[in-house]
Amino acid sequence: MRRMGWLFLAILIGSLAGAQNPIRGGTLQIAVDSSPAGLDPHVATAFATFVVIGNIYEGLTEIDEGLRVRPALAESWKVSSDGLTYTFKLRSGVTFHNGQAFDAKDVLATFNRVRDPKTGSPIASRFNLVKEVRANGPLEVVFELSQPFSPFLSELAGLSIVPAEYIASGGDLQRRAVGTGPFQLKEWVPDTYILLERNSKYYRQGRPYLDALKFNIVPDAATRQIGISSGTYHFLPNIDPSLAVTLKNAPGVKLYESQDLSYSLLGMNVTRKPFDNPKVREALNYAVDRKALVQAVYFGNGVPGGPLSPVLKGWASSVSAFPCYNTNPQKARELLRQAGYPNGVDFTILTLGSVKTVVDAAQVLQAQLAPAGFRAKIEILELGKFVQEWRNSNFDAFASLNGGSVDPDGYLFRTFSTGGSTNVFKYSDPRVDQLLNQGRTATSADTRRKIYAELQVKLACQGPIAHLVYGTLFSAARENVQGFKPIPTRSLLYLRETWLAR
Amino acid sequence: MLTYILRRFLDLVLVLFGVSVLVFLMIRLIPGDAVQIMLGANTEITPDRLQALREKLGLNKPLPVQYWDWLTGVLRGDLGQSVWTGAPIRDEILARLPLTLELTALSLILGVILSIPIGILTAYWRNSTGEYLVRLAAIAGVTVPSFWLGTLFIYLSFRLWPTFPTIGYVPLTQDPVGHFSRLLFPILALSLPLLAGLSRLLRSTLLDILNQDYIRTARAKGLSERIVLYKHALRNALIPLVTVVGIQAGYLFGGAIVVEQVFALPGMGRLIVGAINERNYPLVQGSILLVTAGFVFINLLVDLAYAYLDPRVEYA
Repeated sequence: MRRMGWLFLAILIGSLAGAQNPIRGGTLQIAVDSSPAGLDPHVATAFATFVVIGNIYEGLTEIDEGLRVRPALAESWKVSSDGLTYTFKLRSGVTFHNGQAFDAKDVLATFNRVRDPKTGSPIASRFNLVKEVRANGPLEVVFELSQPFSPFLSELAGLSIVPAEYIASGGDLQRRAVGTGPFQLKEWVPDTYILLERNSKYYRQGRPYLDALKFNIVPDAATRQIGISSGTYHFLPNIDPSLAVTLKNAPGVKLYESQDLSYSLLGMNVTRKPFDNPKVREALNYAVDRKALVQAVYFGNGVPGGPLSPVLKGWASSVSAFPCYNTNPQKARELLRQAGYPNGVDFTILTLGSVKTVVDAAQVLQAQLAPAGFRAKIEILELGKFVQEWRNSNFDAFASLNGGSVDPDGYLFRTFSTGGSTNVFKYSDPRVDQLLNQGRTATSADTRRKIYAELQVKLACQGPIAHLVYGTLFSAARENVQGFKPIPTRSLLYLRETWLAR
Repeated sequence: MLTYILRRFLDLVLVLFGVSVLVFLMIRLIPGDAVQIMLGANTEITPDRLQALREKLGLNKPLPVQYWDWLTGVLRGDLGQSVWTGAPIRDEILARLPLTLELTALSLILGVILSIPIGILTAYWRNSTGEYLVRLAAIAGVTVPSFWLGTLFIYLSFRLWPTFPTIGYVPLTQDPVGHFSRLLFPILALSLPLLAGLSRLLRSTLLDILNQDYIRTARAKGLSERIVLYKHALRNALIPLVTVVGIQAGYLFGGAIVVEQVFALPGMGRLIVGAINERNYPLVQGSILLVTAGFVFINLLVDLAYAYLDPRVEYA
């Protein structure tokens, strides 16, 4: 009986401990696979960079776990009724990590830096429609657009604000990051770790809870897995589905799950045979069994999807709207015959060797396509070569993993508009161009929804991309990691709310 | 002797010049340049932005001009700057070199020191059960790659002794115990294949020598087996061993590249692999040049060691 009493007490204490308030302090040991090449937020493209600098920098807005646009460095904003003028009221009392105060001049300097061709910023073209930016006193910034641009607020979340004086005096953003975010750069030992320490002047009361984030650079997947199982590391962000399956039952380890904006795809070059013929592209879609891909490549953790991620609720059409998503090899053969290929077609799929899901998907696709008459040869390339072939449109087809965007326009416009900056397929369709332009300039959400619904149906079966699977996004953490929330954009925004239970 | 060393140094300069040209061209001839990778796939970029970035990085100049700029810099002791971050290459290399040197040197020492007694014992115990077992282990040691051994060590130590620190890197000055405990398994993983190879080699050379006439003579004139072994047999058996050790030092470096990946150690291997993937031209050039210089220099040392071990070797 007495023993029962102790047991009861232990359970009571345990449950009290479970409900405790966030504890300040501690260093979160994070393991990532590769080192950022540099930290400049305006030239970065690699995920390895964003995962670190997302904690150092902030934009005027930010995107939360429901993909809603929230205020960050802008406290509030007003949009004129014609959708051409955005007025932002900036947060007061914010300082950069180097002690300089944040105000409107920093927003202007940041914007000019991104637009300067010398910076070579890959995000510059997202702001092509901005005609003018001006400060209206120290805490108000006005953006004038040349035409309405609905995704503007969400695009601003990707514009990290940097300090004006620091860049004017030749500050080296590649190596010494200075932002306003919850953590600041303390130490970067190349190929070993990047240590971020708590920004004690952060404007969100009491945040962050952790004293420091240590990004350990651990290139080997097996080593990362053992590292989190043994407790050497607390957190592995955005892991492979195969690693997630392995860690699912590991003691002391839990998994965070979220839907992903990124998707696996098969891209087709519409200037080359056989994919210049829309019937062949449609046939290929009929030949693919997306449900089997989910099982074989993602171990069941994912969903088939169309041009927009199912996580974009209200925008993404259900796959039942796309007839070609009903796997049908006979129909595929028939379409190939109609296109003039009664004996099937031969082509090469390029893939990126460094992403496991991509290589796996290419192999499963190869097997699925064969019975329908698509004889694919797979060529696995290293990143440098892949990027070059991709940019020069030197491929029949390629398998890859693409990031989506929070607003439908971001991804669809750059990918499918004629001459779009990532339209490496050389796809061009007057109706699609027309819809894309209407979609970005329409100001009513209902009108936009109708436009994008039509676009998705048009692109799903005959577009230059066979959209395959939206995988589940997994992060692994030790059980004492609390307060983190995953976001479909893969951002680690909520590390500022994360704390370590004792 | 002096003219010999001088001539070898001249060779070294020639080799390095050749390597500098080769590396310079090779890293530029593989598809995909630094600017393309920097911008990545799936990003928005226009041709004029590509051009602007190339100009900023000095990659728009003709190749011979780029090579000349780099070479004259190297001769002045300036290895250039990282294409990506602008950090001086010299600092990047100096930050990584000590660890790789430590790793390869300790593995080499461990491998050589252990291979001598094992080689001798297996030569003397020829065809005993113990020798068969050692021979089996040696074959396994030669065939199993270091990276697999590394993963196995990490896994086993996690299973048997979960709190033993195996992953990552701690500087010697900060925590000597933690430093060496983290280097223990990488060193074992690197030295085991070496140990296996060297002890097999020593065994067969010793067996060969022990059957020679002069050994029989030595034994016949009543020398103790000890003196026969150390004074007559071993000294001769060490000559091929030294050659192999010299070559193996280079391969150890190659193995270190992989082992550094597995154990997350920040050494030269990680630096070079990263630099190649990023097409960080001056960084690849600088580090390969340095490694080649080291390799050629070790070979010079090996040749000089012959003179000490084998008085018959003459240098003309």
